Amino acid sequence: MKTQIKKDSKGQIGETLTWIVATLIIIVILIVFIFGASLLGKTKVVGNFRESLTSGKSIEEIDPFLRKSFFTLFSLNSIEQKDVLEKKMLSLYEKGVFEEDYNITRMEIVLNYNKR
Amino acid sequence: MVYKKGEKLISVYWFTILVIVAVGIVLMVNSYYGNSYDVREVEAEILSEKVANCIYFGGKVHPLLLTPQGVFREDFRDNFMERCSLNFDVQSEFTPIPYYVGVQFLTFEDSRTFFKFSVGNNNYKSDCEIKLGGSEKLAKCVEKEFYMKTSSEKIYLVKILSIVGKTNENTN
Repeated sequence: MKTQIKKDSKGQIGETLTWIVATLIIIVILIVFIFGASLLGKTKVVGNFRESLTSGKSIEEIDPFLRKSFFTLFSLNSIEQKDVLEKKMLSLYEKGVFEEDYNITRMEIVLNYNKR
Repeated sequence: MVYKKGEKLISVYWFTILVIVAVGIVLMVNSYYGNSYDVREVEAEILSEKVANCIYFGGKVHPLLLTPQGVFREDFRDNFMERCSLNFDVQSEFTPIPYYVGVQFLTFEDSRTFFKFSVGNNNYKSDCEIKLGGSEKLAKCVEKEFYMKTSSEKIYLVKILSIVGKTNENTN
């Protein structure tokens, strides 16, 4: 009878320990997730959308400053001035002043000019 | 009798765990969505774009920027805000203006400043020179450049520096 009671109490202690450890694991996991969520929250920047969320129609990558410069370039009459300006624009592009791709924008504007 | 007590204890335990997990989820969502978006850089870009469009749009310079002889008009500098439909007014009288816009016209040949003007809070300009990591508490600066041509075939490099303060509204 005595040995039976001893065995039962041992089992109860073991089971209680299991629950305590499980609770601790749950709390630790929650703390890790809360910390991760707050870290992720600090990295929120407007404009960083996944490609799958944005279609080409919703966000157009346009650098109006590069386009303005191209309008200036194509409206010049002097070829010499055109050459100098294009060189200067290219150097600005290499410095990273313009955000859009130089050649694609150039082609796009040339096509639009020809249409007119 | 003994078994019933154990069942009650277990159900209290599960209820506690449920509450802990629910509180954890609420904290997670709150800490993620509670952080504000920093839109100052985008705002500064929009501001510089608006100023650029006001000065030079569709290959044409603002009609009130130059005289027919191609000279920059002083009254454009003085009435720049009205001419470009800008409004930097803030709600409170004692709140400093959270914006700054500086425009420079440089000569094409020797990149010499030919004409310049600025509006807004000058104090933010010093923030642009500090380039340190973790500078969220400083104003955001955006500098844009483009070439413009006047009707007298003169080319100028236009540099627009736009700054947005608003640190309290955009940082935690």
